[in-house]
Amino acid sequence: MGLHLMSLTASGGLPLFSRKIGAVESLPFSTMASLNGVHMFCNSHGCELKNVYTEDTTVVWKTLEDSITLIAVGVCTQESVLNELLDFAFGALVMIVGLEEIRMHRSAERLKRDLRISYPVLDRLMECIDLGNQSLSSSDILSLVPVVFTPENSLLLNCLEVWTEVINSQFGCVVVENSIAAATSAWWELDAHERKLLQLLIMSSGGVTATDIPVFLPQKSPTVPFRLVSCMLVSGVWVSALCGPAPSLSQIERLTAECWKHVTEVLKSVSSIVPRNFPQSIILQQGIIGFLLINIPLSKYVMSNTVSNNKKESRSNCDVLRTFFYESATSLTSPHGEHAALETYWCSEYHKIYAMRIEDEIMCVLFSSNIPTPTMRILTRETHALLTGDKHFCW
Amino acid sequence: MAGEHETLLRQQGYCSDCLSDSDWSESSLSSSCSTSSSDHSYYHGSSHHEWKNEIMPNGQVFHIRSEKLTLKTVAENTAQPTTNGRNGREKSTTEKLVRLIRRRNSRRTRKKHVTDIVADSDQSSVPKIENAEESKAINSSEEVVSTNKVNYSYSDLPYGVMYFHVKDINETNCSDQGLVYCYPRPVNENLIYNIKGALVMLYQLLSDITVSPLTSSSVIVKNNLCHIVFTPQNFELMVLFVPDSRCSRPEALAFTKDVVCFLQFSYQSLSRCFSSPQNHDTLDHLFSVIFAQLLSKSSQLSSTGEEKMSVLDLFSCSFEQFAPAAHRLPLPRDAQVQIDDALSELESNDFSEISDAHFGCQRLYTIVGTCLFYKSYLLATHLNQDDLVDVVSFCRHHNLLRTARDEVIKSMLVWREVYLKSCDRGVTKVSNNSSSYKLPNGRWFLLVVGLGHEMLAVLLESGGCTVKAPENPSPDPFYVRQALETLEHIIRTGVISLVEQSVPQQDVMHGLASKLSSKSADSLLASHSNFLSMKHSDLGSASRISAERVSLTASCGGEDTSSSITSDVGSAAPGPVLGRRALREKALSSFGDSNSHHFDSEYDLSDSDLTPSQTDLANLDSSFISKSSMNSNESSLPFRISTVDANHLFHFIQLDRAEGILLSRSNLAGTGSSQKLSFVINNFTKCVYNIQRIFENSIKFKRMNGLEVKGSVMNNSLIAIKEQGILFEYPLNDSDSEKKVMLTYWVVGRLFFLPHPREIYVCYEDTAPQNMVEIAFRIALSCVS
Repeated sequence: MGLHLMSLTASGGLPLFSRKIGAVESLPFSTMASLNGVHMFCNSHGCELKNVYTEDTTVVWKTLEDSITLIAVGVCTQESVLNELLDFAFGALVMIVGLEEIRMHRSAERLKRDLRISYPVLDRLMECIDLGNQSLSSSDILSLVPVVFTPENSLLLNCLEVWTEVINSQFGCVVVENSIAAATSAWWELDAHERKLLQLLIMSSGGVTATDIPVFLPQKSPTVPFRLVSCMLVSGVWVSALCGPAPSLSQIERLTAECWKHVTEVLKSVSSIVPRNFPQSIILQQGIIGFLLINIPLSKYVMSNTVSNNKKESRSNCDVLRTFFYESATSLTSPHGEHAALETYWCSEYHKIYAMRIEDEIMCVLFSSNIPTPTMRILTRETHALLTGDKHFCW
Repeated sequence: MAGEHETLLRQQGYCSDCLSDSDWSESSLSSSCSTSSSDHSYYHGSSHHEWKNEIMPNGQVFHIRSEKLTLKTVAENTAQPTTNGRNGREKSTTEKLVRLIRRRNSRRTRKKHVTDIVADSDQSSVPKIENAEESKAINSSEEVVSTNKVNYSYSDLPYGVMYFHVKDINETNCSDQGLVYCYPRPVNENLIYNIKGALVMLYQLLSDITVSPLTSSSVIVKNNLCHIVFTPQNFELMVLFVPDSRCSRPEALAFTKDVVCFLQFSYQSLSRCFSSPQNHDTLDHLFSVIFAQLLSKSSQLSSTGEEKMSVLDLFSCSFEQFAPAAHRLPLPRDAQVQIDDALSELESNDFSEISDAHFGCQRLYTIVGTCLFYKSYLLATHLNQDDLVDVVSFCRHHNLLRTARDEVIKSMLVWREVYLKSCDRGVTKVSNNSSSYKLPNGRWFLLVVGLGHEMLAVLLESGGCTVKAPENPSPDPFYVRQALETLEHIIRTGVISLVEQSVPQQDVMHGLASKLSSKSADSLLASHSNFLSMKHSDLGSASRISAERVSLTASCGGEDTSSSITSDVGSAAPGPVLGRRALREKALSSFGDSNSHHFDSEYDLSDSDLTPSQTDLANLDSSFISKSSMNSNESSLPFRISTVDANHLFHFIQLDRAEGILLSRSNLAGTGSSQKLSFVINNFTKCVYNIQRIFENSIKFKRMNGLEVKGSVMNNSLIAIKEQGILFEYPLNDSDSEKKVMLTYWVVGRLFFLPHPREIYVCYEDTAPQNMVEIAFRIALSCVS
């Protein structure tokens, strides 16, 4: 029930970092070195070691840019998810120190020091992995960006567009309780990996009112850094933008206050929507206790628990949805071969869950266990129509 | 019907370089030669002349003589010698015999040919097949040819087996240290031999990280993804590796498990199997056959050639092939009783009245259990579940099942010492405290006899009350004769001919075929009228399930009397039984008792939305009558949903691990649409493994008690899943019209917990009405019980 993520230099096998979450013992350095050694040994003998399974543990290796080796050791996780994690983790490293530094680092010690800044993002990434227990704080999904479904979305978007223009940026977003409430069209055109990593970076800057972090964009700009500027509007609501050298942080803070002060009440109401994540005005069918709506091209999702606002219960429902997504519904996102999966479902003793691909979207609905199985198909389609039919909510 | 040529399919490696017949007394020989005549001419010829020469020094016998059926032409025509090692070798054997027969230039009867070949072994002008040296030479040369072929055509693919000691290996020493066995040899042909050290390292490393045992690893060798499966045994490690292009990871795991099972059954333990150098030649041969089948099978499946697809059977469906279970063919109750009676009589071992020679003598063996196969399907078993799985695995890897299916066996005798899992492979002193009956510590022998398409496997035990077996006992002619006579008796009862009808010979996939044709609209329309037809449904046993079913049975009771008779037979309570049978039946007794309530309330048909309307019932009745009057045999597995020509059911598998029984469509051979079907089935197999992975969590969780749950590593969301379904869409390219027809089909897996976990996987077309699907599930379950 835990996960290790570690990195070593590919040439020398020097350790760069090692992170863990969940109830696992931290690995001694000798084990790390051996894991890396086995991989290197195989490489030198013409075999590329990809993964190893035991009955409950999976280990995956990946060498990137011929310069660093990433290793993940996960309990109760799938290999494909761990591989994806390594890609994201590498992206996070690039985002913090830039590709050049990773490719031709002169001193491993210095790189090690520089990479420390990426720890919060790495930890958040690791929280996205489904470890099968509900003790962890988030039910975020690795490859997708969480959004909230608010009635005030269009108002927020207008304000955001004004603000980004004022601070001379194209890429801006409003983040409510770790989910995106509104973002400029240029933001949605960023690479999906970049969007996810930026969102995690914004999430991880807690405890301050404004941040200004140099970031490299792994796809768009891996060698020249941007500035990621974030300002807190009200508690739990942030506005962020990618911008160039000007204007300065203090200028931005001043402009932010001017742009957003007249919508303070709206922002407060928006933040109260979490964890329901969709407006009270939409009433779903009885028996529906949660849903997950995914937009594949924009790789974003709304996850909601509709029964109660009790945080613990809500999380367990969200955990079921996340597990279902990783174990089953991922097959709907990428059709393999000629056989395209369209729908899938689970029946458990405690719940039932149905997923359906409708054009570019995947609708997963969590039901209580007393719903008849054939009915789920109809209700899922209806729920999707209900949620996406109202043009009033931009999604 | 039977082909002209005759095949002497002798398993190489068991070559008869020793003609020890010292164990044979003339009296036993003559008595057994006078076997009773049977109706079928080819059931003759099991005289000991034919196989006594094939007894090896260690007492083992592998004697198979059969005729190839001309019916099975597709595989012969399409199989290329270069890609199919087994076929290649068979062919060469066949060709040699054919040449031999032609050279003799005599037109005698088929039977005479064989005996003549045996008799004229000293004639110098013809190759001496039965001569020890000659046959050894032929065998070995064929072996070289076949292995060369395998290595040649698959040299780019990583495949093989290694076995080594883990304890005393260290990197500074010579790299061969610790290696006990390696296939293929020499080691430079073994693509992952180089990273042997890394594998051992991984084994040790992972045991530091986690307590759960190492299972598998994936590496890329020469641009081929390759799965390495580990089987740790104390301080030894067996690794088996296969290319991903032929075998996915879950398949590789299942395959390895099967091979390990087979090796342990034959050699007691992996350590004993690999450590003894005299086994290596045998193992080389075994692995060359096993891998040639694995590698060639999948290449045929993945190729796009239309004609290659037309034979699609259980041997190419990997799930059925690797599942730890016997593929069972359900029989009508009275047929089952007849077979069981015959087997029980053999098992009673009450021979003293039959033969004077045995009167008053201590018996040589006790019979642990028997099982009967017909064309590779299991008809009846009196074996412990574990032993059954082992016997099936043994027969499969020695190609006995395939031989029995594809060829008419003239005579088959297999004899070897085996190690039963139910007796802990004979390793520890077995004592079962929970029962008053104690298993004796003894030795066990497997005797397989075959005739026609039938095969009877008998497990014999030497120990306890029997005479102590000598070091390397050869088969006792008396027991062989008894087994053969039992088999002949079963054949004479006519049961087999009944079975023959229930094996679908040409089960065309109407659904796909009709969708491909331009008339698809008609069949689609028709399929929406909600009714169900079970062409081959077990009406009798289904009747106790639900009110709906009772009414159905009543409605067609007039048509078929056998179904009403059969329903009561099962309830006859047997007297108290002690011993193995009691143990075996105790494990399954809860199964029978809970028959009436073993469905989860979830799947209860009492839900009003699932009850067919009156009109539906009327339709059902008529369809039942029409179908049942067409077919005299009422008791095999259902393979259709709906009465129209279009069949919505593509495939189904029921796996019962506790009983070691698998049920599925027996034959998937079709016509033009079979290629499409094979793609559907391939995808189905892939899904089944995925669903099974999910179900494993539920099964594991159910088995755990409270304490274990706390300490276990499990995903809380996965612990109680009992059903999963996936809907697929697949484009059917209709060559006649430009329009693209989409085939949508479900793959659904259900897990039933009571009385023991059973998994059912079904693949059916989306247009099948849901209530009919529910009924199909219900009937599928009731059929078996």
